[in-house]
Amino acid sequence: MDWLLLLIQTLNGIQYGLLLFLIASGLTLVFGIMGVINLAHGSFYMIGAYLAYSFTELTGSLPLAILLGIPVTLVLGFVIERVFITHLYHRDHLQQVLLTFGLILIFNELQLIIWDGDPHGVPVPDMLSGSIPLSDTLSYPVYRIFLSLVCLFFAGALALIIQRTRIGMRIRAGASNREMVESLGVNIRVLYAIVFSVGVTLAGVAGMLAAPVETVYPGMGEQILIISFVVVVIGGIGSIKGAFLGALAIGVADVYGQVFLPGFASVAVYALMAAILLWRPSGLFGRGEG
Amino acid sequence: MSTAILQAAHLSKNFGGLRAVHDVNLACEKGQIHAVIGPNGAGKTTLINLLSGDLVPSTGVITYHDQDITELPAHRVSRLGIGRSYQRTNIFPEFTCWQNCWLAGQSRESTSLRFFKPANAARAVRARTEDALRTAGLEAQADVPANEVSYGEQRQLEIAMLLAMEPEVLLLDEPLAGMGIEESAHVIELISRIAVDHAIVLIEHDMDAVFAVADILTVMVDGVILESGSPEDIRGSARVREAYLGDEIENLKGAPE
Amino acid sequence: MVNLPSKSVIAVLIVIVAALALVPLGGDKYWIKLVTRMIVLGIFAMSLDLLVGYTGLVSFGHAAFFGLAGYLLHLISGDEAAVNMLWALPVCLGGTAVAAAVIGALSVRTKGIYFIMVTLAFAQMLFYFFHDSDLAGGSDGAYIYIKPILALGESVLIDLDSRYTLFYTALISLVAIYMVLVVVLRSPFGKVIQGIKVNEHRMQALGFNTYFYKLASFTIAGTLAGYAGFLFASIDGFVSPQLLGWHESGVALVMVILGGMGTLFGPAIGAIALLGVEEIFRDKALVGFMASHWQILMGGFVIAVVLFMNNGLGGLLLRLAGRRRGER
Repeated sequence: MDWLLLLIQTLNGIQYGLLLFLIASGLTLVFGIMGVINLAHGSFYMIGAYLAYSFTELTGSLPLAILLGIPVTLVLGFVIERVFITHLYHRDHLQQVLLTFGLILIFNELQLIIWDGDPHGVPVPDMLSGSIPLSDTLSYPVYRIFLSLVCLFFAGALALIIQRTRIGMRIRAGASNREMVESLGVNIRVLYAIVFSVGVTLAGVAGMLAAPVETVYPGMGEQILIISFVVVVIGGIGSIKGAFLGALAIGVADVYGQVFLPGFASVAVYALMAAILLWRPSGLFGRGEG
Repeated sequence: MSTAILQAAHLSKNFGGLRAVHDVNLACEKGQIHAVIGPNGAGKTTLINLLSGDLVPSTGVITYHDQDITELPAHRVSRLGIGRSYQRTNIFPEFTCWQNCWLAGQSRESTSLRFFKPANAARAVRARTEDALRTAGLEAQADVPANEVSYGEQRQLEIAMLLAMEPEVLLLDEPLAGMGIEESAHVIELISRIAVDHAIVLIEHDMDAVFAVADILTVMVDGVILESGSPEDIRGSARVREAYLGDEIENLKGAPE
Repeated sequence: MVNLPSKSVIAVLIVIVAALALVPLGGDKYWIKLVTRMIVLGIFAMSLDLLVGYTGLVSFGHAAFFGLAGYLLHLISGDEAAVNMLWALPVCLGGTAVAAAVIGALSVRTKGIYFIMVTLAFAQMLFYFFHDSDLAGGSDGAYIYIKPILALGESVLIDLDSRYTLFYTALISLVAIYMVLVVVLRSPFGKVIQGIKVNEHRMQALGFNTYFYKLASFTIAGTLAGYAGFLFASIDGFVSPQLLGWHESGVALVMVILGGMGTLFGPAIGAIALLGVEEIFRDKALVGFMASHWQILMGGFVIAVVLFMNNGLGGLLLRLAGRRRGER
């Protein structure tokens, strides 16, 4: 057993897990606070990646592309919330799922129209394109470490905002009692619009950051969405802590799966989910069904 | 040797740091109404949830006919013959009163994994349903959707469903909640009639009703039993008066000065 | 609780079935195939309604069983001779039932949104299994070169190779399955699962082991979906991972809502309607240039259905006809 290879795979797994966390936290935020399940969440990951691709082509710089991409995604998220999501708050899960499913159909087709059906790559920015040598022959890409750190930063920032700030308190309060919060003078509509657009932008940013290490291709949104679901199921709905641990578990499990069970790698993740469900039907930190 | 059918010993339930119920003992015999009273937050509903299997006790033992049922889930407890009604009406709103009771009646069949309607079982269930509706006085409303009858009738439906289950022990969680005087009187009369060959644990805030029908009273405050005894003992207890009944005692019919 | 539809609704249904029965007489290959697909997807949608509309379990992975049965058919079909449905059908349905029972046993432990996600995830697992492995053609899919037949001894009673036979087999199956489901839903079992949908907690308090009944419902629904998948694979003689995919599962849910959740006949109408709408959206003559991007139109249609047609076509029909009084 080559320990160095194992280390590299573990680092990859952690990096993937942190990326998943970023995406899943947006999903769980929106569901935990607004009670809306958004199937089109993965589409924003895809949109982020494609924006990164196009803006990098345009400006030659990924950081600039991300700076441009974030406001675009925020605005898009805001518009989607105001036009479509706002009708879903008092509806049941099936309707939420189907409406956002319809959004996916539209997004996917628009993506084909605006871009195309070919896979693309995004170059790693020069500053981060080096590698840290681990041995004579093996090294670890700096960009992946950077990616992990950025995701960790977001994780920390999220935790802080939710737990410590007044906004976070309002957000948590909004989850439990809509009318009460409304009567406090907090404009629920604005709050929800912000929460939603921030939530989907988290997925979008993940897409932008991941673009240099993952391929940018049409189906990427659905793929990551379902894995995000697994993360949320494992971690428990509405729990950021659960999303974090679940994401890491999935990230490492997926990467190890590809190493040890080639050909059946994708099954490893679902097997893990099945095992955890047998033990804890509400996820590791779930509060039961919201 | 006690004749208690349902017995709870040293029952406790903690939620994190909160002691909802602590070291509670309770015994209930056939033909007896055991009332549990106390201020809000005393742990009465938690106690019922423990007895019905909706919650698992942190410590303590619950026995039914000397059989340990402490760990049993709610549906097993129910099958054994312990039924409960709910403080907040817990019926099937879009089904008719008949259909509500039918489900309760059907639960007593050995299995519902029958995909084609067998006539014999239907007869038995039908009988339970009709009896339950008649006893609860809801015959006229049988074909009305439950969410279209009055609140008082819904509370009666709660009890009717319980009756259709043909339980041996009834756990009643504030059956009179929200009822008017006439309805309350009817239900109280119903409860005392049923009590003749059932064991009943009754949570109620309506003191007149409680003192009228209870054979034993247990007073709970802050999750523990303050005192337990006959209605006269409780009425005369200074501790109880201080902790809970207070002015209410003066308002009771026939209360001592 | 499920009531038999009123006489006027039954009359409408009979008219629809009669109209469908006349389609093959026109002889148009394309239409026969299309309507066969509609009917088979109607069976698929009805099976999902059993889960969603009557047990309250919203599964986003129902296509897993639809596709699995098709794949099983491929796996047992040879190049030489047609398989005999006498054993092929039980094998395919049996395999699907086992899969449904296993997946159900795990999934039904969860509730609400978890259940939706879990069923989606397990269906994806099956998708990847067939997509990534060489077992059955991988991402390209696989062929069923000779369609199944039903033979008793020497005589061939049904040959699904004939598009007419396949059509009428599907149609008769649709009607038969509908009638069986109505009977089942009025049985003790049916009453229990409907009670679970409305108030599972109370059902447990009444003494029902709801896990068990939900699992039974899930398995039955999955097996029925498998039957639909068996027929569907026989239409084109081709299976691909897409049949298991979540897109297919999502479309099935749309059929259920479009047709009217909880009406049983509604989702079958929904399937027919949805395929019809798709035909319209793909027709250049009707929608112009949008035909090459018809998924946008479909997405918009789905959103419109959710926002404006909550009770679906079936619900509309029931309301127009006036409901029967609450039955006992």
